[in-house]
Amino acid sequence: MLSSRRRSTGWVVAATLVAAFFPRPGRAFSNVAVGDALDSPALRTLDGGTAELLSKKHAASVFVFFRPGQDHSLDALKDLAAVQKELAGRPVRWVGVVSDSWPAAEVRATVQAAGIDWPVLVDEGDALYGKLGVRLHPVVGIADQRARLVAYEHFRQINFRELVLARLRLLLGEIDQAAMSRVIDPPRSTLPSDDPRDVARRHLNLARMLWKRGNAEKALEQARRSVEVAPLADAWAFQGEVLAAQGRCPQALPAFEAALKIEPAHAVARKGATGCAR
Amino acid sequence: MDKRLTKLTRLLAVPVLLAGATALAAPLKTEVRKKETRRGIQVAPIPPGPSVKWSHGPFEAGDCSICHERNDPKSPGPITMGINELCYSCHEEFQGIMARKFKHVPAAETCTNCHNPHNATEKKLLGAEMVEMCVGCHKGIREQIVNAKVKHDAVTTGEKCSNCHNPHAANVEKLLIQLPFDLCVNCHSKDGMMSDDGKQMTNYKAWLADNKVWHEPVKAKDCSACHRTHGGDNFRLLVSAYPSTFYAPYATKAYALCYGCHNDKVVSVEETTTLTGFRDGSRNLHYVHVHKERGRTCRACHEVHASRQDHHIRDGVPYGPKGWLLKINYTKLPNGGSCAKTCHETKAYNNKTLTSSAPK
Repeated sequence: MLSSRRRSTGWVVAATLVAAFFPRPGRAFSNVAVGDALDSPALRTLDGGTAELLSKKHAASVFVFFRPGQDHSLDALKDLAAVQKELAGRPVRWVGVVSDSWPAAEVRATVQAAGIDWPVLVDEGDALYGKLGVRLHPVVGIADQRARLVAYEHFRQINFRELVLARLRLLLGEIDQAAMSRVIDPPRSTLPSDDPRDVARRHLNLARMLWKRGNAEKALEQARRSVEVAPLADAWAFQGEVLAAQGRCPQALPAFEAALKIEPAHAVARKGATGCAR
Repeated sequence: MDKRLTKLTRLLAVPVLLAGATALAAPLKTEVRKKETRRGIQVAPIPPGPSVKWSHGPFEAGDCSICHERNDPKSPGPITMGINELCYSCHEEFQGIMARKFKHVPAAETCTNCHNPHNATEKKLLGAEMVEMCVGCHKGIREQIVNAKVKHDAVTTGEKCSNCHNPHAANVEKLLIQLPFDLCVNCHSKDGMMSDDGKQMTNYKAWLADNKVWHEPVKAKDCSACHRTHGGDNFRLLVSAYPSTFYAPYATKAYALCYGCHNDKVVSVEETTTLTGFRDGSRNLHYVHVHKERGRTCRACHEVHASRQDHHIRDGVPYGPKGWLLKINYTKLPNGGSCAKTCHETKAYNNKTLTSSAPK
């Protein structure tokens, strides 16, 4: 009983800590959350036909609320056209949604400039906009075959295309949640000088090239510099190899031992140490 | 302004002015001269002198044959393999770096587009000062830096362009080292930072920790949705117009920043039952607030980065010369909300009714 109470206290503390460091989750559309079932109204299209918001024939339905004469809408539509191209042949259906308050000619100009070939649904009196609680332009909704909202993305300047592409690939089963997380929060793209081990490897590689060209002393000098920057087992083992090849086993042995201290299974160091010990 | 920035601005201003009206009329995009494969840096050794401070290890040691056919400085002959292949044989980490999704075309093309493989006046063996080199191709950025009324120190101090960009390859678009927010808070998470106009700048890590309702671009770590990071004409480096004052007469174009994403009709139409929840019946209360005698700007009620209350409603607004906090006292109600007596008498609104209510 006591341990169960302790456990629950632990969970409360953990939840409080999590809540303290993370923002409150948004609701996607103001009136519809991710996971909710969506209606699929049939609306008039820009070209005079009728089309539904969602498709039950496709694994993914993408609907994009946009407006003409807005830079972000145009940029987003261009990005989405590129995503559509990248996913060509996959069961994804695309539609745009635009308020009936915009002149059809302006909407057509945007569609043409963006290079999209989707049906554009005309939202009479902003009824769908109001029902979902859209609030922003452009926004992208992605629904699965059961008409469930699985993702909502508003426009962003950076990585918008990547994000929508990844959301669709996740829904299509082409990537897993871990890959999705890497798109949402990409790993830092370190600069070459960030890691001393990289600098150490450069010295070691130069040492190997010098050794290949027959310059043992310069090769040893570079290998020494390498271990000064970062303790690489490879660099110690290389030093041992060069020294042993010169018949300097008393100096080579400590180098092999230093390598084995860092990496006990280091094959070159083990072989070199055994050779020198004979 | 920083002395180095002044010097750089002058340096950059000359070619821009020489380029004349065509260049000035160019759009503020990152234009690159696509067909130019050689970007103009010197790859031959620079004669020794006090300004030549950086030297490549093999060159310094006289090991020409690491890259060239002969170990003779006077006649080293051609290099023994492709340039990048040669570089990666020592700089092996670049194989991983260049496998990242977003690659800098000049880096993928040949390292010597930017680096002198022998010696240089600049660190990292760059062929020229970093900003000068980058804007040599990125003409649009050059214009932003030179012409900006509001400068951003991050562009010209510290690691300069490399403060935010990885010039080789990255996991984020625009070769950003991280998503914008993660980069911005490297600096904007300190207390006491001052802007050029003498105003105290926010410590965003502290602010966001204390205010849990984050604006969507903040949640998306997309500072560049609203801020032009290389420099711009609007205060706070805003990408487009937004009134800098607390009160301003309403004009749609004055809020171009907000309407870059938000629907201007949320504010500009007098009656609606769909566009906003901030309505009493169908009377659009956004419209009412901004069309007062002294129009309230968005900031009168909304905190643009993060707030404690829903709808980004701010706790209060600074009032008077000492910045006394005038509480807004907003309360969310099941059918709308209310603001208790501060700016005006306590007033509630009901957005569940669909009929227009008479103006109050």
